[in-house]
Amino acid sequence: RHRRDRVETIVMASNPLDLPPTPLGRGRSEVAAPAFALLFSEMVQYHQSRSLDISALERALEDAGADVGRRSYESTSYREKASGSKREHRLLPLLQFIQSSCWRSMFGRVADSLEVYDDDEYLLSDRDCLVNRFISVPKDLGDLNCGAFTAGFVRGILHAAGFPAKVSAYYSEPNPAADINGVRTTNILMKFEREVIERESRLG
Amino acid sequence: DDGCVAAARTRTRTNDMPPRAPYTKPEVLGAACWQTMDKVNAELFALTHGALVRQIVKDCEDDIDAANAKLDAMGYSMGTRMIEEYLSRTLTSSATPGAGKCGTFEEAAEAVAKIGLRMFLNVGARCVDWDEERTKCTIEMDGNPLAMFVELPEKYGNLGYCNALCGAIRGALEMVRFRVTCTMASDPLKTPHVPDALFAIRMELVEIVPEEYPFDE
Repeated sequence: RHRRDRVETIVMASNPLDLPPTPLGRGRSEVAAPAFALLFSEMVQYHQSRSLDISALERALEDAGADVGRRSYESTSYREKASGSKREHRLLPLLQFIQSSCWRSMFGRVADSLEVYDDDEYLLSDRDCLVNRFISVPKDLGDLNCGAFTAGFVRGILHAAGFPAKVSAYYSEPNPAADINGVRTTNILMKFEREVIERESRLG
Repeated sequence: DDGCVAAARTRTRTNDMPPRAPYTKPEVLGAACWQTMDKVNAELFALTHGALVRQIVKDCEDDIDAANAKLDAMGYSMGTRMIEEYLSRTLTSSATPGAGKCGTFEEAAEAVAKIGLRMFLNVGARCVDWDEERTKCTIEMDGNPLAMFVELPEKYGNLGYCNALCGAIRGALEMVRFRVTCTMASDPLKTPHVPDALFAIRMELVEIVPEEYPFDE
């Protein structure tokens, strides 16, 4: 249920409260990075205390990211004048939309590359993933990849757009030539459900 | 208005007068600190906070009091770490030594309203409704990025959605020895039909924690 003048409510889908519409705004307002970093850190700690292992923690971060992605997609696609507030119904334009508009609005820059891996697998890469840039992982969480949140973010967008996929994040090998400040590239791997691939080939 | 960091004025003085540093108004210091911060999209921040609130409410199985307490505790934890950023930024962003320091509760409240909220959330705020002893005030905010896109469904009407903010202020002040209570005096999320309502935090001083000396002498 989407009303043109108000983005879907954030806290649970609910009955409309019959309020005057709030303007969506241009989405350029900002907060300090430390505020986000501290919030994210609390989120990690919260889920860490409830997770049996690192994978469970990463899944929880993915789910949180999906929540964010789903809602962010609504506001970004509404604001995107070029598409006339229409939704993408073909896969490649949607992925390009994610790589450029979604990444730019949420993370301040476009994602570095979008590659096809297979007929059902695509890879989005970010050399300077915002979430990883501001978060330092404490030693006791060793292998935790906060890119899981970003993977969830993409998963949320894809599901909201009607292109369900399994999405995961992994780091590239360190590459001194390309890495900025020794930060490894974050890769977001999307493996689309069969139904998506079949629909794409039917549409030609 | 020469509230800006001005060149130090020379004045005749005797040897036993301390040098007088130019005075930086808190609002100016707040804006200067905000300029120096790395920034992220406010929607990313708001939506991430929302995802966390939703998770907490779900995990508390709709026990709203427990969720409210958890949000406040989480904010407190954030606040205790925010203070470092505050202290280092105010130190480097002003030519006035000691700018942004909080000697009295009144200074601390002004610092929260004029400097802290500006530098972390880019929100303008002011202290109003002071009591006579200057130990209680209300911080009135011109906006609240946490509340972006938020509507509280009826069954969560008592959810302290902004409790983390109250907790953060409490935690930060406790690190500089002001023990306070912070509650939402006005929460437009709970009163959505009131036009032009502002977010406002009621802050009351409980005690100034005395310095503890490590040596027993």
